[in-house]
Amino acid sequence: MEIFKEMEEFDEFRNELEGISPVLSRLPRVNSFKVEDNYFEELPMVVMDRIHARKQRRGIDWSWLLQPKWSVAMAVCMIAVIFGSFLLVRNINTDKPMPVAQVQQLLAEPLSDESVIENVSTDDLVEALANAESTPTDAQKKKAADKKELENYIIDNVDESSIIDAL
Amino acid sequence: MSLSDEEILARFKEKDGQNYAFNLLVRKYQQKLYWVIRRLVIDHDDSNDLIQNVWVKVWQNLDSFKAESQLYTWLYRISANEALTFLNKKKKRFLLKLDDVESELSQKVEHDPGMTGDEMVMKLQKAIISLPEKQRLVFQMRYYDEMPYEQMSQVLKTSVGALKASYHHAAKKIEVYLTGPD
Repeated sequence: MEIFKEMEEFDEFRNELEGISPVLSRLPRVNSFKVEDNYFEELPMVVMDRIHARKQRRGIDWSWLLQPKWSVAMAVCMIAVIFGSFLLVRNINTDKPMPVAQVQQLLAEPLSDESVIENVSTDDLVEALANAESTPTDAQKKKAADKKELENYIIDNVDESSIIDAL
Repeated sequence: MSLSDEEILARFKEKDGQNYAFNLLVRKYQQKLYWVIRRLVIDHDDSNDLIQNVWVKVWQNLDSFKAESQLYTWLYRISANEALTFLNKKKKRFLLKLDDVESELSQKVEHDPGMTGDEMVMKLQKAIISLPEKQRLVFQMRYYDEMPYEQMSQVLKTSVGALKASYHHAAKKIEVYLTGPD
């Protein structure tokens, strides 16, 4: 059936050409171009080599990013990142340090006891009192007591001659 | 081993069968596609570059090929586009050089050592070259490849009526060229 169809198409083609150009229809339809021997035997290998070289050179294929759906998604992400960065930079700018002149002016103003108390939190006060309980004086007292206790122990339990021998 | 297009495509979709399937595909269609390109661009070296580009593009896009059209139609379309794009680029370059592509191709036909055939065949080649590119493509598809108009319509995305008219005009022009003085 396929052969009949092809023959029919060929007849149609020949009749058509004869109708349009009798001169052309009488010319032999030869391929007047030539290629070197083995060209078509080698071409598949050349093509495969080129494809593999391209794959190795590229590593990861990013061409999918050029597809419309991904490029739109990328554009949206980039806008989000740019907008987020803008907001972040704006927040950082609002927390910028106080100018030196303003700091100096504040330091020059005398502070009353009431304003100091007002500005100290309860937590800070509790912490300060806790530190005050373990003052260096108490620690020193405890250390001295420990030292006295050790001396008494040595006097009561260690023989004087053994100390001389040891020295 | 000769596989059908469907079998080759099925093998290509298997990861470990890609190279094998693609190799079969190249072997099956390389000659037809090469001659499509060669008849349009004439020069072998240009054709060789272009046919390789075509296969690289086929490799990149074969995954997304939908069996809405025949595989050969799709391959033919890629090849024709590649050759026409090449000729258009060449034309733009020639615009700057005050020369033209047609005379360059004619000279190549005359001096190509790989060219065979008698004087009339040579004249036919020059007549074909004198046609506008798209008309040339239509003529070649019908005259050399004997492609049915419906298939040509799929390749060129043009109506059958327009293609018939284009082929008719092309054949008439060639006849005038052949019967005219040298």
